[in-house]
Amino acid sequence: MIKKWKDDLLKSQSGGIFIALLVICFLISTQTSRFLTETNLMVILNQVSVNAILAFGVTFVIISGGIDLSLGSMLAVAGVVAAMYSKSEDGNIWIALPLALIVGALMGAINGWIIVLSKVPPFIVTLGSMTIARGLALIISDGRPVSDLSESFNFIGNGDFIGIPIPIFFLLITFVFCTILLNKTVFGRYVKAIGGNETASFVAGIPVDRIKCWVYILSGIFAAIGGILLAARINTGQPNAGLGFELDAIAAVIIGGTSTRGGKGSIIGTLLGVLFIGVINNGLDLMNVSAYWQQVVMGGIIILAVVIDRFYQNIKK
Amino acid sequence: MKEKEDKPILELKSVSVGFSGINVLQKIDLRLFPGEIHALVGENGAGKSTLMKIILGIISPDKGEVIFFDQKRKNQSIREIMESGISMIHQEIMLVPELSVEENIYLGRENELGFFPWEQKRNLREKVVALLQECQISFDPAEKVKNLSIADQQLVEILRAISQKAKLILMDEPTSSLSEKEVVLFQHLIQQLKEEGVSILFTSHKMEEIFNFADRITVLRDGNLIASNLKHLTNEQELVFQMVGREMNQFFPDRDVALGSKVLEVKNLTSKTKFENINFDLHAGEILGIGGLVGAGRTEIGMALCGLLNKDSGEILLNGQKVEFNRPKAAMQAGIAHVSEDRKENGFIPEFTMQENIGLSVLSDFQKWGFISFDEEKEMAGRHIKSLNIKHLSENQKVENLSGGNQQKVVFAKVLQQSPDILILDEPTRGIDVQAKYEIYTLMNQLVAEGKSIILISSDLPELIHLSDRVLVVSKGKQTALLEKNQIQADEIMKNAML
Repeated sequence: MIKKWKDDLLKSQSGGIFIALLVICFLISTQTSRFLTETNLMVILNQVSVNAILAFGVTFVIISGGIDLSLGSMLAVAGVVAAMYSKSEDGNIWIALPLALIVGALMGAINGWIIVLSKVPPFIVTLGSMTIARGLALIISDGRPVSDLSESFNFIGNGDFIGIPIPIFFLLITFVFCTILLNKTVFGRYVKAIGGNETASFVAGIPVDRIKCWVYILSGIFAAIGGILLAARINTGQPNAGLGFELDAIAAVIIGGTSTRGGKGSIIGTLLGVLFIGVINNGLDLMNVSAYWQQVVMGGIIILAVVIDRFYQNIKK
Repeated sequence: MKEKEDKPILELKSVSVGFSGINVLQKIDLRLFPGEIHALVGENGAGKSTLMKIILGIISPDKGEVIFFDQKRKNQSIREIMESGISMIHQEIMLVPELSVEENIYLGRENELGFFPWEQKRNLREKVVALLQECQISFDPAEKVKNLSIADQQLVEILRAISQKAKLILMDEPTSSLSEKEVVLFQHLIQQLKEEGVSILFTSHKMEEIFNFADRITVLRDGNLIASNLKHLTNEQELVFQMVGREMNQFFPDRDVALGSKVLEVKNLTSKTKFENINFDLHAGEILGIGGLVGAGRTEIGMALCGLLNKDSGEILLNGQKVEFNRPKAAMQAGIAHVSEDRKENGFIPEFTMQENIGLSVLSDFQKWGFISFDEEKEMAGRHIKSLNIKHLSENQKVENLSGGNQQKVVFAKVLQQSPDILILDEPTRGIDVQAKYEIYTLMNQLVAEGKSIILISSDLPELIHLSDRVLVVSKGKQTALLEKNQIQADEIMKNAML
């Protein structure tokens, strides 16, 4: 069973990155004994949870042939909204959380509508909405961090259940949800079809515009979940949160073997991509590499990973 | 024969190659002589493209030798092979549209023109003008390639091959996108190449042109070389026999279907700049042909009937009811299905398997709560794959890796699963082999026998003549004739098409 699963993985699009991840884990564990411990692995999963959730959402966008650069800004808006309604004196997370998700969905819907109606490339549209959403986050928070939040909100980011941090549950649930959505449903099939050949999809009667809209809505909702988690973790709604997060998420998706031209990709690949980035960050931390150098190393390794992956795909052919 | 005395320029000795355990080519022996025009024919999937890729060095054979100019090939890069004198002209145009004719001809070889940019520019013009003169082609060398017709672009590709001093030019269905007039020009050009001692190996599905062009015709079937015939020692019948492995007395299956009631009526259909005032009706059990030259508006009429193109005025009556389709889905639900002339662009998702493609339009029938029922879908696709005889290596094979004829069958399966009453087929047999053509014709007959109706848009005159009950002829967007069964003749169609 496990062997079959392993074989499938090696043969799949994500095979290269899976091997790369194992190699990097091995290298780091030879350098520091603190890496391969239960606590540290938990720390990694906890740290990558926000990026993972953003990346899962944007995987659908990229498979459909689009891109979403507004993730980080949508995350900030949703985080601020969630925080404003989770104040310790009169907040209620049962209002705050749904509201933040709706705000995320709305921003995604607006992205989708504009892209579908105007036919302007998603890159341009979401580049614009990235700035707009960032502005909105600053406007509604009046440019100040929203702090002094309720216990229950704090629990989402910092609590744990049976010894496992809550964000990891979010990561697992969204992972399972997205895997099923992409591979088992009509929606997932349509997303891949549109990315594979949009005209043929339209001619085949697929509601291309509606599916595209939903893909951006999904991306908005997942950005909002990420926003809630981050705000809860730092116990503050930061209008400046999530700067540049979209790039990390997109990098993870691409490292995970999803084609930037659309049409193919997988959620497990994205998860591996996220872990890859997370493991390197963690490893460099443990090895006391300076934060400045970490960035240089990180970028280099990302390029190297994709190069090795392409090489691996060619050999497989 | 004179060729017997010459030494072959290219020789393949017992070349075999296989992919994932399946033999694609087996022990191929092939010789090509200087100045020979050699046709490579066979059904889709017979191994023609693979053979060409081996000659070009894109694929290395598992066994056997490739000998070019007395030199055994080993481990040369594609660039080295091309420099040794082999060029390939692909079925799809491979030019940079934004660059000029001359820039495209010397693309990637600018260093042959000198060191300094100004020197290159001067030499480029000189060389290309000389080349054009030599080939008696009148192009403006500074014209951007995107402004040229497809045929002229094809000529630019050939010019590029000539300028590389190619001794052997491989052409994959070189005439598939050319009009009749352009084919004549093309033939003239390859004759000229022949006189200069250049050898040409080309593939084609068009019998007429195989016999017009070639000196020798090699037939491949299922990866085996069946025969290398000298043109004057063979005939069409024999060639088809070699290709399909059995006698084929007729290219068109018989049909005897009584026409039923009127199902579709088109009144004064107009779409500005595309076509105007088109009038016809369609009966159950009828095949209505639409003939005319490429660009006359045939394709657009078909598109307007299935929601792919908006009409400006006129009416479409379906079973007496006025209908308006603003998207393909609406036409589909009303029972009108469409097979596009461009299957790569509109027909299928290249990355998808057969099953995924066939189910694409009807996925809502194979789902529960939005979840796909994979078993039902597989069973449905399996039925089509079997009944249409779609050849494949594995169930999970991507459709982009199927041969053209089998891709087209996948498109048909997808359309049939929509259970349409009216099928609009735009060039349904373009670029596919005799056997698959025959199968598609048989399928069309079956469909009309079931009481469905077909609108057949085709540039293939024999096909149009044999299959249609009536033929609508259009010229420059205008309807010039609606020929009844007894009036359908080639000259009648062409006369009205040129009006």
